[in-house]
Amino acid sequence: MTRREFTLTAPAVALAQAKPQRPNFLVILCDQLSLDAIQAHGGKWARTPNIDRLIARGVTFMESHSTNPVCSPARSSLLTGRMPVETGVVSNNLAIRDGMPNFGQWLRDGGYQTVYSGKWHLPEGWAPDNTPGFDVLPVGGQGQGSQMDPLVSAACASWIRSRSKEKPYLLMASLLQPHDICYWCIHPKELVTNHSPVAVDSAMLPELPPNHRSRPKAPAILEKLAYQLFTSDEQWRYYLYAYYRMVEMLDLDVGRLLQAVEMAGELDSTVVIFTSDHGEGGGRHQHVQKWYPYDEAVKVPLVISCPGRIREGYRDTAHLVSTADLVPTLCDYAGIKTPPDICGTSLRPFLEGKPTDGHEFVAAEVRVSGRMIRTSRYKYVRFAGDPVEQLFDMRNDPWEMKNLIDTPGLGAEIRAHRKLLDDFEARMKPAPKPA
Amino acid sequence: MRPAGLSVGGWPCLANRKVSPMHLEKIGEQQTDHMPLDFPLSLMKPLLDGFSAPVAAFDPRKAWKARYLTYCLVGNVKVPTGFVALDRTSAGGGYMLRLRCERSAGKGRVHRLDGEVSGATDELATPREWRATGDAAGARGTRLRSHWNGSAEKLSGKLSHQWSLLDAIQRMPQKPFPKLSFQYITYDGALLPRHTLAYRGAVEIQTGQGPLRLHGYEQLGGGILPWIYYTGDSGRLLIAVSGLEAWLFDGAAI
Repeated sequence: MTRREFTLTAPAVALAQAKPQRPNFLVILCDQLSLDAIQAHGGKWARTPNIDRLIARGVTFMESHSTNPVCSPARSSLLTGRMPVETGVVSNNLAIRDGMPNFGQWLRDGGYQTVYSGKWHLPEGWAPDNTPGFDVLPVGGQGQGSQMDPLVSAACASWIRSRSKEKPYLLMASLLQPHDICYWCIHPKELVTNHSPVAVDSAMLPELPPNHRSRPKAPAILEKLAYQLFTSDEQWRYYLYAYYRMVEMLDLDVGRLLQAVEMAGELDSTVVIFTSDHGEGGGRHQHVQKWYPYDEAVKVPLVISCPGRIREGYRDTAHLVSTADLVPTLCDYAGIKTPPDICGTSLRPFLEGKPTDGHEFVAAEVRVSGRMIRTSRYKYVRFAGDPVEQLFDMRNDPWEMKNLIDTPGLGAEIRAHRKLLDDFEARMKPAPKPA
Repeated sequence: MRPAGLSVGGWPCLANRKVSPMHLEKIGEQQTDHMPLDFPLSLMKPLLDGFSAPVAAFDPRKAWKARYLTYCLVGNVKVPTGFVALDRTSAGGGYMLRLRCERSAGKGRVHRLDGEVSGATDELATPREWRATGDAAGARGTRLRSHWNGSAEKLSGKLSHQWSLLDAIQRMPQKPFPKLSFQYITYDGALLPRHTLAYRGAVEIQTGQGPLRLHGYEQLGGGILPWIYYTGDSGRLLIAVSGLEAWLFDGAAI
């Protein structure tokens, strides 16, 4: 290389070296968001321009599943890469077992600034000051998502703008919406009265889903979960109207966070991950909220974006993925090894369009004793001690309206799914039961 | 003298299933005897029992101040989550509305929002310019500050602003009027399309000081749960409710 060539090349080399090799991570976790509520996913009833913007510049997984359709268990899994039975958080308001690191602890040890704001629920509702692995931007006290989420997004956005840039960061913005909808089920007399409590044009009230009245044969514990306090279609439709307004409120806070990354000029050095702990019944199978293995509760949005590193505008419909895949994906991009015994795998090959085998199946736990596995074609469900199992053909019956467990000719499929689940469970290392 | 037909005998109209004549006028043929008149007020009962409306004269077209305690309508309903203070003056042929909002972040920490909006004294208090400063609790006792500002200069169509509407509501007719359609601007400048505002009707409620007539206005649109604003006969905004959030006029502060 001549002196002249060196002189011309050196700034470019210096620029490349100055560019952070390890990306920042902004994880936007929301609560109770249906995958199909998002406009870019075909949702008709909410306007979500900010989530759509993220989808347009990243990969969105259309077969993304929670490991447990309940807040605390799902969050424990998302934070550790382990199934809830292993984290010890098999139902709400429990703490992750001692000695099991969350990704804040793991990435902090790997050289990241790690910051958390918003809902925690492991077991404290809002992230406490001593949240393991994270500095905390505090919110708390009285208030639900409609009041707290703007505080979370404002604090996180301000932190992004003002942070020290000595290290890459992991910032977790844990938004509560559209979880507020739970109160519309708890207080139906006040919030979802017999007739629409506000003067919404009928055309603005969402249509009921095609499986609204479907109640396929189910284990006893699921049979009890049909919501019966709405007595008219209009009440159900107003419930959905309120839900979609909460989705739009969430979208505004997502926009505030994205704008902070954009304004900081760090779009191409920040992996933005958007997901939810679980979905929302939304009237499917007469369900509200969560707690069951149907897609309305188990499927969650998962969008990952980092222009220049990750494919843009790609809709992945082929691969089954799980929120347990988040930890290995973060570790892969951060260049650090994964914690031991995690059950997820890195999504990086999918994100970068590299050929790889995906999961043969994904699994979820439900209400402590229930298990679900989803293969490319079927969903299989069983609850310990209940003789009724479920098998759905997700290709031909995506709304899960017909339980095929007693269908002649499917014996081999059923046995194969039972074995997949047995083998998966045998690999688990359950947390010791609390004293 | 109270209008005939209003529910004053007990709490609240929802429970009594009685309907205001004004509300009947608004919804006409659709009215039934189980149409809820003012659903959010039933969740506010623990707050309204001790509420007293201001008695001082009030002219919404002149300078005024107001302070509202804010509440979450689930959980410990009686504990305020913070406050919103408003200070309205006349300025440049229009108005200037200054706002301070504080909200608890737990453990004695607060998040603050200060701002102002100026605009025209038309039916939607159409904003001209606005600015806001946020001051949030950060990690380890630090503070995090944010600034926003904006102008309606390049916007077209009917507009209102999150804070301007609090001025407009107090000058609106206390009777049915054609529904207003507009774009709604949030404190940080997000533009939410297809908002509407309509007169909801009158309702009389029981407070700790006796019956109180309220005029309701209903704001619908994207990005918000319906806001229902209640003014007294003077036009003073006394109560505002959206989903689980409620504001209640704090007479002690004026």
